[in-house]
Amino acid sequence: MLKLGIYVDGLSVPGNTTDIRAAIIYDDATYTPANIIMDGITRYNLYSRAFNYIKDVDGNIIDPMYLLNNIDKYQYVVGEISAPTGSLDDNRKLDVLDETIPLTFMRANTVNNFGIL
Amino acid sequence: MLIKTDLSMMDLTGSNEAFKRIAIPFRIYKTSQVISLGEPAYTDSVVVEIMSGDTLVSYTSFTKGVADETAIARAKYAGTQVTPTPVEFTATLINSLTVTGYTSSEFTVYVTYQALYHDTVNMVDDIVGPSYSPGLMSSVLNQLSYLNNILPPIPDITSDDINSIQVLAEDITGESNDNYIQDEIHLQVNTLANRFVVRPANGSFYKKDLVVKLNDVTLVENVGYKVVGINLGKTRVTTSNDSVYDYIVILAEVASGAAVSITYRAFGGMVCPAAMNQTRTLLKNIIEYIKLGNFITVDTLKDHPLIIYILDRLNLIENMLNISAPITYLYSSSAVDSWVNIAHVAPDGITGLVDSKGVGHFRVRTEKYFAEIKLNYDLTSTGKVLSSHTVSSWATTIDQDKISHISTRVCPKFRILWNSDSVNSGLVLQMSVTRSVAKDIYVEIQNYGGAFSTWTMLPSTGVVLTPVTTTTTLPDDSVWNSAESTSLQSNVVVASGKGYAIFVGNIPTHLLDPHTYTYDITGDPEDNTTPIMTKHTGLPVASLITGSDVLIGEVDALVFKVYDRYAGTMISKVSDNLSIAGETVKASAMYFDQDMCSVEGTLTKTEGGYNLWVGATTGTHSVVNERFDLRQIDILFKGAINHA
Repeated sequence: MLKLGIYVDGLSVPGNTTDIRAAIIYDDATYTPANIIMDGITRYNLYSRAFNYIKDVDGNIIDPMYLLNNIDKYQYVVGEISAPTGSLDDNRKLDVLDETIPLTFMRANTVNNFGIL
Repeated sequence: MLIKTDLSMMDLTGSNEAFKRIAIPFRIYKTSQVISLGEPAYTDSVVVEIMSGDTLVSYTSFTKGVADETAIARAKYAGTQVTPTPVEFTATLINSLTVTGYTSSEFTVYVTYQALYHDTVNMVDDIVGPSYSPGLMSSVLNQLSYLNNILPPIPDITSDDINSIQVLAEDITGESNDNYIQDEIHLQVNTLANRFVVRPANGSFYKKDLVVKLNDVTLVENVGYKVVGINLGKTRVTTSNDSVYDYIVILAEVASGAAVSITYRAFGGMVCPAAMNQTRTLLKNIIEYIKLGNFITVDTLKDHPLIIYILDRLNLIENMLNISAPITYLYSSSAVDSWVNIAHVAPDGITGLVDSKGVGHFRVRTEKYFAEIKLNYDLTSTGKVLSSHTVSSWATTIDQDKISHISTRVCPKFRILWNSDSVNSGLVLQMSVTRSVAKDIYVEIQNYGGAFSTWTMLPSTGVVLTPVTTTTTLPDDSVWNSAESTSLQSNVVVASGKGYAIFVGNIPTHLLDPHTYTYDITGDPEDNTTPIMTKHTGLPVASLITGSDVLIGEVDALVFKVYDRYAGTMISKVSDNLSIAGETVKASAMYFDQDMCSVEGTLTKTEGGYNLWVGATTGTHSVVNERFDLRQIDILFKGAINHA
């Protein structure tokens, strides 16, 4: 069966995050995924998930190819891959501008990756 | 009876016996009933009689119709044409009578008269035949009318009646005991619900014998019932002094379920042995006629001259265009190669020789795959015997079909079998179509070869093709056996034309760099005993290869797809360098020259499957900016269309 393998920072990485650093598609019948080890330390941990574990913030399953093209919009938390609140894939409408707006929405320091800037 | 020599069609004398109509019966059932004779008759010759006991007696309660001026004019003209002495025609002709003697009961009158025209039906048997004449036409029409009115097909009876229908002979005497039907039950009568018409199951009936009963009590005519629908045709021909009717109307109050029974004498003749024989003869003639081949049936279709002509023309066109109709095979596809025979090169019919070099041109279509390929062979080659060249192709790709590309793509391969010690035994072309998910698929192949193609497609059996494991039969019926050293098989060529994705993911190139090379830092700048840069294989990643799809020797290039996060574009680059060593292929491509960025891949086939490593060498600016992601690697095979 085809599965999605995602790499997140290993525990030995200082300041490791839940951000997804890399991803691959593989067939579990022919390939056994492994962590990425560099210089003797686990640099990236690999987690395998079936395609139906890729979700947006509302829990809707999304296309794995979409995730591959937008991995910096997703996080891996407690076994699930989902777009974090306040990310570009958080497409919920703010019908009423009241106090329920998440604070992270307004925080500039939520931008983790400056690579594209 | 007419004498043979007197065949004149018109009698101007009014006394020729051959033109005499004798005692033609007409049924009188109403006051002032007009009798149409249907032809001109001499007024003075008309005699009307009725039956009294066993003899005809004169009847006078009638008036003659108006003169038929048209017929008179024709007779006068005919008289002027008589040679040598013209005849002056002075008689009067009429077409009808009006019988005025009806009071309350029906009766039959018999009319005798001299007709103007000849009646051909009374001719002697051995006469050669008459010319067409009004009299002949009149006779034909009368016969048709007779057939139509007297011998109708099965009338409008219900299906239940069909089962009980009897084969009754036509009875014009009104006396046949065989036609006497007793107590025929009609339960459907319900006058309260407007169901009051009874149609006897055996058709028309004589009125005189009709007895209608309701619950075994006889009904009185015109009180409990009445007969309607006099059948004039049948009444006219009967010799009985009675009328023939078709329907009975029940006048009494009859509730649903009450038993109305009728006893009657049927006229019969609806289905009689003669009619059955006639039908049988007709069917026999039709069948004989069809057998002659003038009519097209499923059996005779292939022998019909028109079909043969069309097929010949199609063959001619196919030969002229050097193509033939596609053949569809049913093939059991899986991740493992399964070789089946699809075509052969047979020895030449005259020389018995097989050309050691040749070209084939085929169109292959299955599921989401279509390709037009050329297969060239050279049995004398010391290198590869078989090569392929894809002219055009259409197949699934990651771009179009996303992940489903991996489970729906097919990988067709071809090879040739022959015996090296007997090349003239012919060649066999084999095909294998692998697919990650096992499935029986239809593979349509069209021999699209030109004038030099010697390939002949094998016919499709409609069932799954049988894989050839160790032995098969060559075109001249000799045996190819893989155990024999002289039974050879060519190299295998792959006809996967649109690229075959072997890696799909998203790995930033800066993450790959440390797996691809490391710098050796030496304290002594003069020391060059070790390379400054040490190369590594790269990061092992999953390869999305099905079964044994990738033949390392047939790999022509790798196509790397790298995403530029800065520009937001996808860079697709065919490998600049490719090296094949045994079962390992290495390829790399420089995809961003400005910053000296390259990406590379190494694919190795092992007994257990395939191993894939990916690597990158990224320029410093791009590393700092984390600019590039490796997204995809495709394989292109030799002979495929090079795409970027």
